[in-house]
Amino acid sequence: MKAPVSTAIAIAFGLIVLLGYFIPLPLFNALRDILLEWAIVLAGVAVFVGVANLFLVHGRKISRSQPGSGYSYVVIIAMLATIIVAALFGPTGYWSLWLFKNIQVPVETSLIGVLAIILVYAAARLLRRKLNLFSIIFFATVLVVLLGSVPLLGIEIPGLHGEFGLRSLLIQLPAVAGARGILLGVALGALAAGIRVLMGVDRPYGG
Amino acid sequence: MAADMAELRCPMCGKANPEELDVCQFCQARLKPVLPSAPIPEDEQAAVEGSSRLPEPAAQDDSLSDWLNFLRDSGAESEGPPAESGGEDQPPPAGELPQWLERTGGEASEPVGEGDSQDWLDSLRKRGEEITGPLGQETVPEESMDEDWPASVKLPDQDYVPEWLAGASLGDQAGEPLAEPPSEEESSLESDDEPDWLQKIRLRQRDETEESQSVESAPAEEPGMPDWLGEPASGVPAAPDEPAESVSDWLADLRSGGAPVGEEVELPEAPATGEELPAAEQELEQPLEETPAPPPEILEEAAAPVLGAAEEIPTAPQISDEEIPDWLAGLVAGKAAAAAAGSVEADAESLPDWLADLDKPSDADSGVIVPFGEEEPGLTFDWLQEQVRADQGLAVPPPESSEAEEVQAEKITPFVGDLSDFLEEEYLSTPEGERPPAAQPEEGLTPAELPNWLEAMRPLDAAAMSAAVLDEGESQIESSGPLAGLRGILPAEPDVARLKKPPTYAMRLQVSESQQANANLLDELVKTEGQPRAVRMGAAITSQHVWRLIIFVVLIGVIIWKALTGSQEVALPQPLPEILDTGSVIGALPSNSVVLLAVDYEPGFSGEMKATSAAVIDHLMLKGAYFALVSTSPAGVGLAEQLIQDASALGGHQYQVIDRYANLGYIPGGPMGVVGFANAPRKMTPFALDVDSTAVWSREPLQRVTRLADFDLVAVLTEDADTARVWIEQVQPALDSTPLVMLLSAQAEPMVRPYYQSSSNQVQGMVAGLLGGGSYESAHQDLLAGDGPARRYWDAFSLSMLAAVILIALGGLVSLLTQALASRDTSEGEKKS
Amino acid sequence: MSLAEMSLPDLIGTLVGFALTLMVFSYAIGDNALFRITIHVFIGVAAGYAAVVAWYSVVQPLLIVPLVSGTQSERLYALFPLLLSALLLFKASPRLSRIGNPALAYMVGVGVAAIIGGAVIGTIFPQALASMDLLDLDAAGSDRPLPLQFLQGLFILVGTLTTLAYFHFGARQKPDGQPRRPEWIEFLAKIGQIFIAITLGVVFAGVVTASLAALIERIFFIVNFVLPLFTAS
Repeated sequence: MKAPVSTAIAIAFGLIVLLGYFIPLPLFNALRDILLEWAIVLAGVAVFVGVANLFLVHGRKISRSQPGSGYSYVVIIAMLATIIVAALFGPTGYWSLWLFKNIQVPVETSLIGVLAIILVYAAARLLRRKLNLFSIIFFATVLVVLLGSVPLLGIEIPGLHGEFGLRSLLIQLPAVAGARGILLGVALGALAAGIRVLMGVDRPYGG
Repeated sequence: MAADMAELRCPMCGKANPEELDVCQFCQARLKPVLPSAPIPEDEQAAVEGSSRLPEPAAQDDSLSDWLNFLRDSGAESEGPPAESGGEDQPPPAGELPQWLERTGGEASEPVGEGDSQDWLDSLRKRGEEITGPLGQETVPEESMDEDWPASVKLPDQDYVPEWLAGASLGDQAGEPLAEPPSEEESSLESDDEPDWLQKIRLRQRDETEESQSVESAPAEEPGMPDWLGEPASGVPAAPDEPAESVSDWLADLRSGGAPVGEEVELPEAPATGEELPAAEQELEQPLEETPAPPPEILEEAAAPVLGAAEEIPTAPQISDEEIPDWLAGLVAGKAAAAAAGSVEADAESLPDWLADLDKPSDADSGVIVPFGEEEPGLTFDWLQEQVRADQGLAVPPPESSEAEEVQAEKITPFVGDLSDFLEEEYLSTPEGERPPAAQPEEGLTPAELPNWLEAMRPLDAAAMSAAVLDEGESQIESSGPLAGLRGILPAEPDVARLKKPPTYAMRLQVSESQQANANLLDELVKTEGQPRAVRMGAAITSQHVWRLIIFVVLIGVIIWKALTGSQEVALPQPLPEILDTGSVIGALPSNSVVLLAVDYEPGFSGEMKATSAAVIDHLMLKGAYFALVSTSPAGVGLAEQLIQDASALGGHQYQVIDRYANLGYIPGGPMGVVGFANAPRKMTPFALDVDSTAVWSREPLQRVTRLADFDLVAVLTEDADTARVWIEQVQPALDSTPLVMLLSAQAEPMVRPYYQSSSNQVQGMVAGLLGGGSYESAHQDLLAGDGPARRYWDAFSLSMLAAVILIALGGLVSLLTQALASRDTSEGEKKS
Repeated sequence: MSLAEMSLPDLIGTLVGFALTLMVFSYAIGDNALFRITIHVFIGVAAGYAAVVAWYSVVQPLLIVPLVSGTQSERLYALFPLLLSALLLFKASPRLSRIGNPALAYMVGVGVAAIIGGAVIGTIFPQALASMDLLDLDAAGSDRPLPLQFLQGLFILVGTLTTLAYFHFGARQKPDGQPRRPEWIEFLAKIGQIFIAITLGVVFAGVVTASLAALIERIFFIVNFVLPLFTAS
């Protein structure tokens, strides 16, 4: 088996944390809290690793004068400027929030806004790509939910709007049933995948 | 190793055999060579030692046995017709052993009685049975004869006739029937086919005869072979004191079967002597002088009565009369004389043939050179040939009486095929008059076939090769040149150099149409692979661009129009159940409650989330709640800070950090961070993210909060369904009675509703999207200070949503019509076709 | 807040935000350099801000402070995460990445255990109980008529089960060599597919709603920024 030490670490500490979920003993809880705290620290350090990796990638791109290296300058300059400012004033400082509020938020919000046009276009072309029973049901559901979300020119249609309207029925009955089934399936899949990791079958940590 | 010591490996087949065997029990090859070097049993060693040398002339070598010397002398004198040698043929006195026999030691020194005379024969028989082995096959038991015979030989009185020599009665006394000796005609061999070993023996014996005059006797020390049988140079055993005549008398009587003494006894024919053999043969015989072998004729004669039909035994070579040792020849002559004197009472019919043949005059005596294989059958290996034939299923010719038959020269050779070169050469070198008559195949007899092991020893047949080469040349007739028309001309050029027109083969492959089509397709693919494809420049404006442009224009136009007009004509939606539940939960909070606000949405959804959560936060601020802000994403720290500041500003609540809210910061790790914070919030977020990094847990109102359940309300703001699920899964079990409210984006609501709409009541309230925010604002209009973002966006939202629905429906309708038209055209095309 | 009420930093910030918003909207026309620059600026700012937040929220209070100013037990307590953190930093180097495998394994093990525990306790048990309680009219606690509640419960239960059947992929090889699910599961899966289509349709509608709301907010921002400029004049 490759990387037996890493595998042993993952299995051992994972089992301890898992037992803390099902065995409400103070010892287990205390041990679980300690392990979780250490894991949180590692997760925070992992953010640095990601940022450092981003810096190295763009730095390598600049050093090799690869195509698009000009944009890498933009990335590195923006990163360094933000780090300096936020480090000086703190993450909730005025200028840190200034950067956050006037650069990061507008850009991301604008990107999501452009997404609305793309999504409407995709919905309009849906039936052209695939026409069958399920696509028709999907299309009709989208129309009903969207229409039932807002009054039509200020008018709420009784069968469509309201608590007992079609939109509410769709959301509260079949959508809940399907969502519950999906949630259960996702939970079972996560359970199976997690057990495989705790058994050492899957080793996503490079083992 | 010990196992090897106890068994012998066959030199032919390689299989293991017991040590006591002389011949292989599988292939009948000799395990122990017929040489003096082969070990002989110790019990016979003494006997062998006494008689391990060739007999010397009795007159000059005391070490030789008298009888042997006598025989030699008799043989020397019997170049012509065997002469009487009465003295030598005189049997020893009764009760006394001849000296030659006394020297064999042991048993031989004892007085020979009537019963003792049969021992040597019995030993011969036993030996023959051993040699016969489990397969009933026989080999030439040369050594066995050699080992047993000297020790068991009991020289009878002069007048004593061993019962075994008496004929049929011998069989009864010995307890075992006597096997008939080989027939006369079967024992004849061509002189040209004499095996090497036999020729060597003959040569040695001839040399022994010549050396018997000068060689002093010396005890034979070489193991394996008795001196009197095989060692011509190492010394001659003491000649028996008794004259040879006494020995040969009984032997001669046996042969003649009552023939009067004096009659010539024909000795078996001897093959060509060493002088007649080519030089190569003589050279081959040299080693035999050092490792003498017993005379084959003695061995075969002794073995024939007990061996029966010979199987897979090569034809025993015939021995010319010249090769017969003198002692044996003299013995025969003396015996004939004694028989003629009437002292022999042997029954001629009961005499074994091999003994009877001894009385017959040999061709050598008469000066006639009998070809090899044409000697008297009594001294030939016919018995061996019989065995060979029997093994191979050939008809075994009935043995004929050796007395009635003449020696017929039968061309029975151990070699199947053409003669070897030296034999042929020897034959050609012999004058025609001296050449032995060609052997005539006897009627009813078929040539013997060699066993495989002997076939392998056969030398290459050069005659066949020359004949093959000759045949190839014979078939070729020269077609050009001065030698045209002649046969057997050597080709001027080797075959490989001859220009031949190579055969033409059809180059056309047999391919089917489908194979050809596939091959063409593959060829095209390969050709097009290397060719750069021409980039087809698409139209500048496609339907996709048009559609996007239309959608963009419509939506943006509607929104701008509503933003510019600032209309708020469209009524806010009626409160939904989840909105009312949320309101109820917040309304039930005490004053100065501590609310944990988890801001876990992305900055891109800040606009919607602000519209969704603004009224709720305002409501909480109205309740005087202290906010503890956390986030599982780095951007959530800034979003949380901005959310509170905007809500405070909007509602005029003047919320200040640390006093009214504390930004506890970022909790990494996803699920494990949430569960860690849920179990130990103080340890996971010990300080606030203010400038001073205040330890808010030691300050009011967070001082009373030690675990998550101590919060009055937990509200999670997220746009991601998975993040909401994580908070519900990890935090809700630790909340006890603390309510959990979800403030969600519209896209996360469907996946969170099962948690809200379940009997387990994991989520107590839910506000989702702009619709939820507007509904909450509508439900708490009286509480909220002003219009929230949901109110401001509601008209634009409703109109843009209607426009989006119209666009989507229109697009779907166009798609359906297009599909219908396409299918109709397809069906019409199919109908036409 | 109007532009006149804004401070200079806020005004500049608003102007920057406006420019960046327009540059992002320019993507509707097509990919261009302005859009790319905007995106790269956004990436740099987001990465830098995340790093600072991680330092202030995690590394400094949980690692640096205990080692520097903590008690001896706190220092010993912080040594293990310090060691693991040092190993994890090697993950940034492709050549030395394997050194960080033990630290990553620790994170993975603990994270997986948290996922498993939450899935079992937070979703599987409660949602399964909720599905069973759908037919428990006493546990419904609603003011709706009982038959209606029963039908609703039955409808949701059937939808849940058929949705789960759709995700059952245990198939056996049929005589024709094609792997197929049993017929009855295939029938249930078809019904579950309808429920899934409806659920995904609702989700898609929510995404459209959310993005539309974001678009509205941005447009309002632009209008609110530009309009005063014209009205002020």
